[in-house]
Amino acid sequence: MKRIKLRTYFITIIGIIIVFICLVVAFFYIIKANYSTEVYTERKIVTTSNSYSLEKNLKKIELTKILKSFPAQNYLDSANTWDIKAIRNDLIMMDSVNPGNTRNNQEALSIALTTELQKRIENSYKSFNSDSLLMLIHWTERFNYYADIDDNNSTFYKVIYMYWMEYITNKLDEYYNEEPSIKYNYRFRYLVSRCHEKNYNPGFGCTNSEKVIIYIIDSKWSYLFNRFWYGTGVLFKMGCSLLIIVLLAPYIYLLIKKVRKEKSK
Amino acid sequence: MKLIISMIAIFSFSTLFASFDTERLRGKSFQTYDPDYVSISTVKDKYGYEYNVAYMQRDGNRVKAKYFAAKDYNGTSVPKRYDTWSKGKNVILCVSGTYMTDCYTHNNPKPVGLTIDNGVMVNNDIKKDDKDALVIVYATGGIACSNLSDGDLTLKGEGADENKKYDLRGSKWDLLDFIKWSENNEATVFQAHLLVYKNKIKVSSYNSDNTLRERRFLAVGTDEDGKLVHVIIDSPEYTSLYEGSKRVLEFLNSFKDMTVTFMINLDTGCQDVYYQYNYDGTLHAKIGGAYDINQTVNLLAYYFE
Repeated sequence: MKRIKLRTYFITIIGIIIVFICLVVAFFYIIKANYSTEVYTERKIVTTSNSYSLEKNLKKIELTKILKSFPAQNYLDSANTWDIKAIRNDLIMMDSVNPGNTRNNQEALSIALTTELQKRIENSYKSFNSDSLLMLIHWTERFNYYADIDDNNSTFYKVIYMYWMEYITNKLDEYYNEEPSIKYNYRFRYLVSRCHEKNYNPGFGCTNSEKVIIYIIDSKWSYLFNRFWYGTGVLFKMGCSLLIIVLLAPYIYLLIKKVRKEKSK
Repeated sequence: MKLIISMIAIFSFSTLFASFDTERLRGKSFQTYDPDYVSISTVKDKYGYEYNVAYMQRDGNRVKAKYFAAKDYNGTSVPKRYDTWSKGKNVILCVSGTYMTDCYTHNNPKPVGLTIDNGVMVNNDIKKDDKDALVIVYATGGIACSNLSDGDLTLKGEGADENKKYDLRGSKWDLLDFIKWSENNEATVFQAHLLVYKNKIKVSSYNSDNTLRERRFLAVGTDEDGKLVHVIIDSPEYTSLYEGSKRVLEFLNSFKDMTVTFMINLDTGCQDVYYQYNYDGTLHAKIGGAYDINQTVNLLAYYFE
């Protein structure tokens, strides 16, 4: 009799421990996101004077092949890429040195300010850094404003704006794919909202465990059962069955015991 | 007495007419399409897998497509937009389209990939991952698809350079030209998984979703007589994306000797909406999705004119 009692306690304790472990794992999963609600203020971008003479360098290259021969690296080394006014002046100057070739001039400068610049700053965005991303958004937005007021160079500004907004959106996608719980991070959500308001939608959804919880909340039991029955492998089914058996075993055991006791009375 | 009888008669007739008119406008019980152009069937392939097939002939431009990519400017939802649009239309079917973010949580879902709705930009972000299909639904009811990884989209119509091959992923200049073209031509555009292109399978088990689940596809191609056909294939069997696509391509190639120009995946997840109408306007008893139309956040509709 004593042995049966001990076995009952043992099974019950194991059941409780498993439930406890599940709760602790879920708790840590939820709390590891950064819930800080600090809002960033826009920072003034410090610009330096441009000592680089693009004009002199353009005279040294073959202007008919400006797309390939544009000195992008030298330009990025010295030019103040954060200063949109300086970029505008560079464009005007390029048109004066290489007249009648506006589209090529714009494309050459846009390559420097997009793909070439990305190579340089890529390392700063390898892991999630909300400050750097926000600064990049602020800089990128200014190209969109310039596109609205400068009709002659509107496409040039739009191209740079679109390139960097897409880059930011893709980066947010990447961070989410690496760590799905980042979507609960307030700063991350703020950046996502900034992208949304500009019609750029980072494409992340729900993890499988989140989907299961949502389906449970929506009481879509038949769908859940179908996905479990037809959409999972034998091992997963066996694992789930085992877990359910372990969780229910103490209660079933107690129930059987109670029924037997009542019968014996 | 005569007055009362005549008033009752007028009331009865007006009620009858109103109900008739409402039903006609709702396009539920008086809509019809020509069964010569549209056939709906449940077919088994040689391996015994069952498919629900809506086979539509575009010959003569009587079967047309319309896509609702997202909420409109006023925030009118897709089901409401569809409801307004479908009044007086002979709807053949309506089915959920491509993927959305936050679809499961219903928290302001947004389309994934480049999306333009009737010339209005919805999502600027052109995806560079596996969503290689750029689907263009024209205001005239036609559908075209370009393989984005080929970078050889050609355009016709207002503002298009017809000799140019547009590389939307490789060049932002081309993308900007394309967006302007879409605005000028009120085109609807969305991105999706390209499963089959030019009758060749484009996905493999390594680069696609291996989750086993029911599948639904839109295939566009030509039949044995070279006529343009659009097919919605519903595959209730649980398969991976690759396996499902491979089987369906094989089935379509043998089914009426169809050559598939392109085939894309349709969402059967959080917005598994599919309403298939019979030619007399009644809802098909067997073919359909799991959810009510109010669940959908984008919608592809086919109608007959």
